Amino acid sequence: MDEINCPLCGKPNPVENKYCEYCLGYLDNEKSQPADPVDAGNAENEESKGGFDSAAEKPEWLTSFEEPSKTGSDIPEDKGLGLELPAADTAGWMPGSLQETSSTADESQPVSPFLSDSEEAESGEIPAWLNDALDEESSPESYDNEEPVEITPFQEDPDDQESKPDTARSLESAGPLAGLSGLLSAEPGVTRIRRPGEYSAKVRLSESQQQHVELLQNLLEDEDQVKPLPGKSPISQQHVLRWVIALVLLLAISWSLLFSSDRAPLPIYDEGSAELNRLINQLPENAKVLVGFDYEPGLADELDSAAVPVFNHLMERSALFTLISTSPNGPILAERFLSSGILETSYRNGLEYINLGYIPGGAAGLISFIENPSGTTPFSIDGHAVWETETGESLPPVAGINEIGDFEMIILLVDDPDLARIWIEQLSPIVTDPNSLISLVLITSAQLEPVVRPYYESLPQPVNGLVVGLRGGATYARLIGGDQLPGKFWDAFGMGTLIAALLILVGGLGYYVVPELSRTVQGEEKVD
Amino acid sequence: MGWADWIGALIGFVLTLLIFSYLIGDNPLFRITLHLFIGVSAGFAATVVIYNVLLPRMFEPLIFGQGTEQILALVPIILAGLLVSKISPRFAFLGNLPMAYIVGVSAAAAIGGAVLGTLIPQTMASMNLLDVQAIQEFDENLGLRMINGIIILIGTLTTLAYFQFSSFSGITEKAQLQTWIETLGQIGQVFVAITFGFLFAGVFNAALTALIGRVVFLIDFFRATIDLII
Repeated sequence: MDEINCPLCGKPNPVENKYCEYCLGYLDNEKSQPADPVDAGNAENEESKGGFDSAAEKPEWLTSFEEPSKTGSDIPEDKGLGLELPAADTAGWMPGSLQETSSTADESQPVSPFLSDSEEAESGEIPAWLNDALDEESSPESYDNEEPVEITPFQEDPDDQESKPDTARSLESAGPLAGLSGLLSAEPGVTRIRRPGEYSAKVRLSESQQQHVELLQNLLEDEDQVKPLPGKSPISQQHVLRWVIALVLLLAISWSLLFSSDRAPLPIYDEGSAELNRLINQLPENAKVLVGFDYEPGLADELDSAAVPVFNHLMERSALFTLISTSPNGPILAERFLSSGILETSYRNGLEYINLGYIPGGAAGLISFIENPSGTTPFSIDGHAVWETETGESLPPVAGINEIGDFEMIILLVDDPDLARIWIEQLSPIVTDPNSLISLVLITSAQLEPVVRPYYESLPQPVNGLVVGLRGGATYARLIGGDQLPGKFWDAFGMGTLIAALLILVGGLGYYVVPELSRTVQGEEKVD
Repeated sequence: MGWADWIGALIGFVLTLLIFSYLIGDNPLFRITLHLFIGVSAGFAATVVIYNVLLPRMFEPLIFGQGTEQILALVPIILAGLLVSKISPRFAFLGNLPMAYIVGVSAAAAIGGAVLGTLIPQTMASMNLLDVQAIQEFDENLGLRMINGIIILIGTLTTLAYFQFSSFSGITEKAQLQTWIETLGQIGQVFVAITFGFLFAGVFNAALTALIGRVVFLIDFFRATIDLII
């Protein structure tokens, strides 16, 4: 089986193929050499014999077409596309020296257009200029005087040798581009996929470029090297400062909790706490109070200390609680608050209080609850029907409640500014309604005071009472009297605040005074 | 305190000490406690959602409810199912409908509340600060209210001036704020500093109260342990 080598990958392919089976490269059957020279010779013989072996078998049109071409004088007019002639056809008119050259070259080398067009070619004579050129090329002396030139890959590529001069010399003879030379041929061979040329890996660099390269190499080598970090002391100045502050605070708090015999007086007056006290005193007995538990466990101690005196007062007034939360942790914090024993009175679930659990949906859920409390939270957190029991009645804390305005008071325990704002915003139209008797009270963390105080200070008031942090709880505890939780914390709170103020003062002085002193000392030393 | 309570308090005592170990620096014991707290909170929240929301409001009406209840219960179930499709990139588009509903309702509630509950009332309240008639209706102490109103007015205006950054400039002149705006801005800076100081004091008070609460818990635990042993 005849095979040809792919010009791209070099692998053998059947001669019938137009494209390589391995790399899909174009197989130029006319130019590619057969894989086996013996087979190639046989193939040539067979080609000359086979197919139209005898003239009798050939059609007339083909015979009439072939015969004149053998004379060489009737070479078809070149249209600038590069006509290929068999080597045997040139024998009749080409001189010996040219025949030798042409025999060493590729047999399918195309004849240049000027040869076919010129009169000398028609007459079989070689022009004088061509003879001179051939003599010059054939004489070895002409090569001795030239310096060896490095062959570029372009020149080494046989395809390029073949195509470049053709395209460079081709002169367009017809059409709108007639007379222009160096045009790209429209032959498929122009776009043929070729093996990329081999380029030399050697780069010629100037001295400055080499210096830059060395600099870059040094930089990259430095990057690879692992550099140990500068030694860091495990106990830094900041650590020591942190421990000192913590120790001082802990000692002060512990001392005041353990050994303080005389308690510091609770704060006398706070407007928000006093207003809340007045509102609770005005509540009827068994008043229905909605309580929102919206704080996180981290601030439970602060919120507890603020809320305990308020709830003790409400329990004295026999208020009934309905607990609700927009935070998933709220229901358990509400249960803990009412059942952990920090309150003076113990309330029973279902009778004196109901935990409605968690309202999902944030602001939207809260709006739903405000507009329709029974439809939004039909069950308590333990799964019992609240608004309509088996007897057809509501549980006591929600008896007679059809809408949010039926509660006498809403108390909100909150530590998050967004949650506080949402509650206030949604309840504001109801609370500020002149015909409404409901009041909204906030018990918040001290860090929330800047956010909620404007609501309390504004006129009309969307927030009617405000108890802020431990200080608010302590104020309320003083108002109602008795031994309350804030009183237990108040001494330690005062001591801690005092220590913190002293630390801030000392730290500030140290920050400003010490550098100033050192500058003064340095100045005196320079003067001396 | 019984033994059961004491064991619970002991766990709380150990966890409190582990949290306090952050004073030494970030350490594995502190991280374990932190992860424990987050895990317990998340677990509890999931339980609350299942027993307080999903079961009573979605599945029980669907199974035990009447015809209308069942149909109404299907709506959230279908929407929730479509929302679950968000986890698959191929079917995520199905979740756009419930997501659009949630975002639209939440945005409407938030914007409506902010405008009607905060923006307009607070603006009106700022205007009413120097309204003598309005003050007399709510408060007898007119003088103090007026002084308070003037301070708030000055604070509001100067703080707004402090955040005024636009300026006019001629072709050849360099752009710079007018002198009187700069002066107002410097006064506003004082109000801003006082506000930050107030915020810091609030945060410190909250943290100090939490610390006192923990120390009280530790002391109570020691006392209870001694009482239990003796």
